Amino acid sequence: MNLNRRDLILSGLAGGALAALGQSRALATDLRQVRFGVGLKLLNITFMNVMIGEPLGFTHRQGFQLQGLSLGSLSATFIALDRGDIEFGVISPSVALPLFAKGELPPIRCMYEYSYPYKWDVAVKPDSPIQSYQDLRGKKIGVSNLGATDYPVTREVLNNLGINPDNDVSWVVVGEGVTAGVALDRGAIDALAYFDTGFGLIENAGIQMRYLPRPPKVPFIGGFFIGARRDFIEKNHALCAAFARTIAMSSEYILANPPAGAKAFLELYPGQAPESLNPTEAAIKTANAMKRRILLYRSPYPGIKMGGIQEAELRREADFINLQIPDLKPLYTNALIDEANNFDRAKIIAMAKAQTI
Amino acid sequence: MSAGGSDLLPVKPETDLALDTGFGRNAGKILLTLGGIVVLIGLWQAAVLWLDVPLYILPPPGRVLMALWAGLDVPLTSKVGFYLPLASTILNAVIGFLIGVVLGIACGSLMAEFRPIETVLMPYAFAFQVLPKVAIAPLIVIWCGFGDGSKITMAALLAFFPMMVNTFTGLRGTERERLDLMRVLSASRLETYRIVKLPSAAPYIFAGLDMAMVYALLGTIVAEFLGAQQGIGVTIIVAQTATNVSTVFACLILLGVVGIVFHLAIRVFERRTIHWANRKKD
Amino acid sequence: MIVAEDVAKTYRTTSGDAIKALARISLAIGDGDFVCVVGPSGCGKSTFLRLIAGLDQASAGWLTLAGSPVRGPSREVGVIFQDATLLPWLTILENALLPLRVGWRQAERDGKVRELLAKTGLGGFEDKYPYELSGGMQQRAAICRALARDPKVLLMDEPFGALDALTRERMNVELQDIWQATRKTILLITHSIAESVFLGDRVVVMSPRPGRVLGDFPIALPRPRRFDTTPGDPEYLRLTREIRSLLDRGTGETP
Repeated sequence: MNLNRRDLILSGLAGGALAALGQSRALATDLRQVRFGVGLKLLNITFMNVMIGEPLGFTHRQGFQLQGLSLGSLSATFIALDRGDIEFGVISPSVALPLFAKGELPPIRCMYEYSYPYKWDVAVKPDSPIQSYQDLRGKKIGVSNLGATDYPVTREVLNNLGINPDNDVSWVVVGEGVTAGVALDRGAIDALAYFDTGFGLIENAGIQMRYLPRPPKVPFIGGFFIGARRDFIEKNHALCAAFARTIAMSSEYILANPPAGAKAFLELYPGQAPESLNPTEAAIKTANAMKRRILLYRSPYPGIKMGGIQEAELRREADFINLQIPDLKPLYTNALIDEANNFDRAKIIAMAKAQTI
Repeated sequence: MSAGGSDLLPVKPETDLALDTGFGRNAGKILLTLGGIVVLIGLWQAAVLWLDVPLYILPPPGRVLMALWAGLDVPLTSKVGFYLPLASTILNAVIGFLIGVVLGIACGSLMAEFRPIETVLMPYAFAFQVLPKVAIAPLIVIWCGFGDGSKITMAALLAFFPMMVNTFTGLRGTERERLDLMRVLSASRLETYRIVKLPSAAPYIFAGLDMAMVYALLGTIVAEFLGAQQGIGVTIIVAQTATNVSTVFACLILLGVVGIVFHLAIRVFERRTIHWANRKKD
Repeated sequence: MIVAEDVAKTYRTTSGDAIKALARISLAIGDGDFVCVVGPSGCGKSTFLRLIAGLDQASAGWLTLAGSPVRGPSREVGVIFQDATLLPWLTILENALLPLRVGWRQAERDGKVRELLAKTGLGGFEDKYPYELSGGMQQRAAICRALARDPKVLLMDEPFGALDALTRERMNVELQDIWQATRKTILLITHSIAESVFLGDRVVVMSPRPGRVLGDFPIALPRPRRFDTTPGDPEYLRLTREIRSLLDRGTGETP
């Protein structure tokens, strides 16, 4: 066959050029490289308080450089932690506890709670006749998908109110993000059961919603944790405490001036800025999407500092999914919390307030 | 005389010597294509206006073009541009394509030459092809890591099957008289493969290359959708998360262009290599 | 040179039926003979040729070539198929040299092949591809290829069937010239009674399937035969008439 050698050589050269171009630039520093993995497709805005320590310089001052990795699926995080592909990862109890109960969870430990309960709500159109959860009887409630925690949590809330989630309401799967908002807007559903940042996205797209007043009794779960291998925490106590500290600092920074936090996040991930807005508008809009979530940075438990883990909460999580776990202690540690909160809070707040957007 | 092809494969439709068109014919083609694009954009704009489509469902073409320009009018190595993601996606797709093609041709050849291998492997090949790759993508990510390895693996897996099937069918369909010729000359199995069977199968192999390139690109994008650090698929996910629909569409346009460019490249490669195929006999 | 004794061939189809292609054929072809085989479609003449070429094995009987039993393809045999079967991706020269590049490599005969190409009017076309040549020229190239190893025997399966009448006549004359120059043993299968009588020293007539030898006609026409003279020869007319009537009787047809 007359294979044209010139074509082969040309394509080889092109390949080499592409390789040189596409190579991720090596981070040429003396700082320790720390990798933080998220079991999602994307490191989105919900990780703002974990990540902005990097552009704000908190991490460098603590002696390390933070790199965020998206790992695709929640279970991938555990494997990556176990294999040492990442130092820190996001632990979601709804995924970790079942594995832990079966003894299949790698030896990892939660060390900082970066987002506390409770984040779910039910929203309706502003002109809807529905005024409270009780009015949901006989109505269609949308959920993003039946595998999302939104669904069992909302069912439990209804149950607590005496509303039978199987007979008194009907459920419609409406997809995630703006799609769910469109379903509500167009009347395909009467109400949307979703979570804070998801609602923020929908609001940013221009869809108006009104939120039903939260009932007093909700399953107080849904926190997210930073986790690492047990032996890593033991051997790298200072680094872990430093990382936790940067998260606490970032959380205070954001609470003091949310658009400033958003601005730092968008510097790190410019692709996530809403298009056709100038940087100021983009920061403000992004902060708006997070306005409910940032309130969950602080611990709602009296006496527990920012990031501290309450075993009762983990117990509630286990009970919610009907898991019998006698001993939860191997799963968490509060050994780093005091050091994590050991910084000049006022200075950070002043720094945030002084930041122009 | 037709090779005994199966109805699985696209039979090469080109029969005219379209290479030697005059300038007039080419200019006509280009004008037609441009005209088509203009009409399409016009219809798009009209639809958005008349149907009052919200921005987050279908942005008007103007916005999409702006988003496209925004990603291209930046330095090559800019973090916000399309160049770095494109380079990553293309590079991984090409590597995966090459791996899948080599393995596909090798496997197809072995299966065509040795019936026991065909009997054993063919059912698995088809069973695997039917599996939705999206389902096994997380497994691939776990096995091959969170970087480019899983993208290349995905691309190679998807490129493998069309190459294998096309190579197999092309080789099996070698004209009996050509095989007789080689037997009469007491040619060895390898000589027959190299001199007659492989060139005979070349048109099918090139049809397979065309498909394999598309699948390799698709595979790379799918892997990027499911968790990667860079690439056009990642850019799309990022834009979707921020509801930057114009950017999503701009990325889709880019992907379309990339697909077309690769297709044309393969066609050119094909015309240069198997110039003898599908010529009208005098 | 070629001796067939009670050669029979039965095929098995995929559905399991047995097809008797050849009933007992006994035939002897001497060294340097030009023998033509005529018969209706499906009478097994191609099957017989394939047996001699070593492409298939006889189900029964004896088949020898140059004294040895035929067990497979022999380098003493060159084969020409109805379709020139030139490889489209090789040039004419590469095609003609193919027998010297596979199986038994004999690069030393390259020069002879080039001469052959030149002698058959293909000089100057060596670097062209088959699709650039007419049917007649392709068949000439196929003949050169078949002669590349200088085989003792040429087997030709309806080599000129795909050509138009004028080209066919010209090719007949050229084939006769080649044979007269080289005195190879030639076995040529054809549908054309005229062609068989024009070319052959003998014409063997075969019956419809299962093929048997119906008749064996020596052709005593003077050589070299020409299309402007030979067809007018009364002996030519007699032979063609006899062969035709034998064929008609064999198939039970009358035109």
